[in-house]
Amino acid sequence: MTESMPSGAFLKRPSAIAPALKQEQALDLMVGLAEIQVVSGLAKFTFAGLGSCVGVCALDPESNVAGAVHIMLPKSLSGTASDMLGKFADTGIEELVRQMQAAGADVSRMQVAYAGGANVGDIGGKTSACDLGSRNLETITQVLRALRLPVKAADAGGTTGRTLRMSSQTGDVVVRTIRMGEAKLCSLRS
Amino acid sequence: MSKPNSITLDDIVSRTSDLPTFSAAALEVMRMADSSTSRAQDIARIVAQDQAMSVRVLRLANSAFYGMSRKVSSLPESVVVLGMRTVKNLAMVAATYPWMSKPLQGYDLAPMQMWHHSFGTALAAQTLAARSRKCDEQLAFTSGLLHDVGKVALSLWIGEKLKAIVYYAEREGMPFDEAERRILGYDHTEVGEHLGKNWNLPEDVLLGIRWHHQPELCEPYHPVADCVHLGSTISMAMGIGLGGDGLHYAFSEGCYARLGIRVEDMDSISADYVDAFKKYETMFSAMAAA
Repeated sequence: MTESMPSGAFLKRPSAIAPALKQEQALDLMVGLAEIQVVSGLAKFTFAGLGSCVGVCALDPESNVAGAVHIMLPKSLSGTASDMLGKFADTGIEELVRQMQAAGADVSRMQVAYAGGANVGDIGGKTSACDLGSRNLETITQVLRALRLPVKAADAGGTTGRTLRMSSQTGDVVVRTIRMGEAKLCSLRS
Repeated sequence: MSKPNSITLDDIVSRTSDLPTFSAAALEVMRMADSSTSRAQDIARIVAQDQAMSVRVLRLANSAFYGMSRKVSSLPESVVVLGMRTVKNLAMVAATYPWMSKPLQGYDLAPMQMWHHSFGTALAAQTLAARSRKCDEQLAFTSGLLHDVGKVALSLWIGEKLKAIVYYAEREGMPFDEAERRILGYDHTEVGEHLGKNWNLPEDVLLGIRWHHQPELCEPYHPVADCVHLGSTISMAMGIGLGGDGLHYAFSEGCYARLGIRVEDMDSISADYVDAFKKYETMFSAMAAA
């Protein structure tokens, strides 16, 4: 799959960020707004309270490199600082992949899942004018397609707030909502 | 659907134990915003009447957020150094943090989540007021800070009903506040307004509380309703203090035109808002210690 990928734009940017942690004991990591977290080894990633934002998780099951990005907005704004690339869908996913590759992941083995992208006002079949969540999801879909990253599962849209968790050990991706409680979305290892 | 609750708004306010209180000093500080004759040192004198609030205001003034080169040791000094408007906002923050930082199980809000959403909405509403130049910034901040106060009172009465209200709202295709009205007989904005009246909050602060989900119904129109509506919407979209009701509210599209804010500017407003909110988080830890 790698040979047919686009020109590998995410490989060109020099790393301004520390190398991924090599972890023997599972780390509990909160992925805050606009943050990118990459771990080589055991980790549990949590995105608390996703509204229109989207939590994207990725795992290379062979190298055990896992990563997550908390995307807030679809398109990067002019003057985006290099440490804020995770804020935007169009820069955040590429940067996540770049950091995972730097930690030893192979993009052709990566599995992806995501959740979030709700809109205030999408009620009773009506589409809200406050469509940030939909625009986030649209850009994420485009970027993932361009990078040829397979999406294992997604829980997105609607008006529900979500908490997303991913364990690099089991590969399990779990989403909590008020209606469903905690429910397994998929495993990035199967 | 079950019959609306027989508990009245008066019952909610009079029979809820552990209801938050608003000290006379905090109320007087809030009122001073409306007076052009307010003098800076009057604020310090009034804040000083409430010892707990004084301690918190000084802690906040000395927090890393303001980056003072030397310690601010008195309220009059804090007014000189930070300015009257900032100290007034700090007094509002100090007056509400103790009860807003508690969990609200009825709305599935963990500790600090109600506080994050309230402060986040206050910050966004203030920014929008400044940008639109159609609403007093401090009014937008105070009304935003208190906009969901009705949830604090309703939380105990909702108990385990939250899931049922969410389910009903989704099934019937209606906003969460409308489902509250159908099932409980009132929504959290009405409870908030009632509680606010009980505290003698200024009328324009009450407008933001009452109409933050339906600003187009605010009659006569007041821009504070739109500032708090859009501020709360941004806060929900960014997932700041999101509860079980999620984002299941109507969005009043007309608020953009009424405030003179361009839709295409909303992404940069949201990005700046989150950066500002993250900086303020350093202040919250100072408050928790107070």
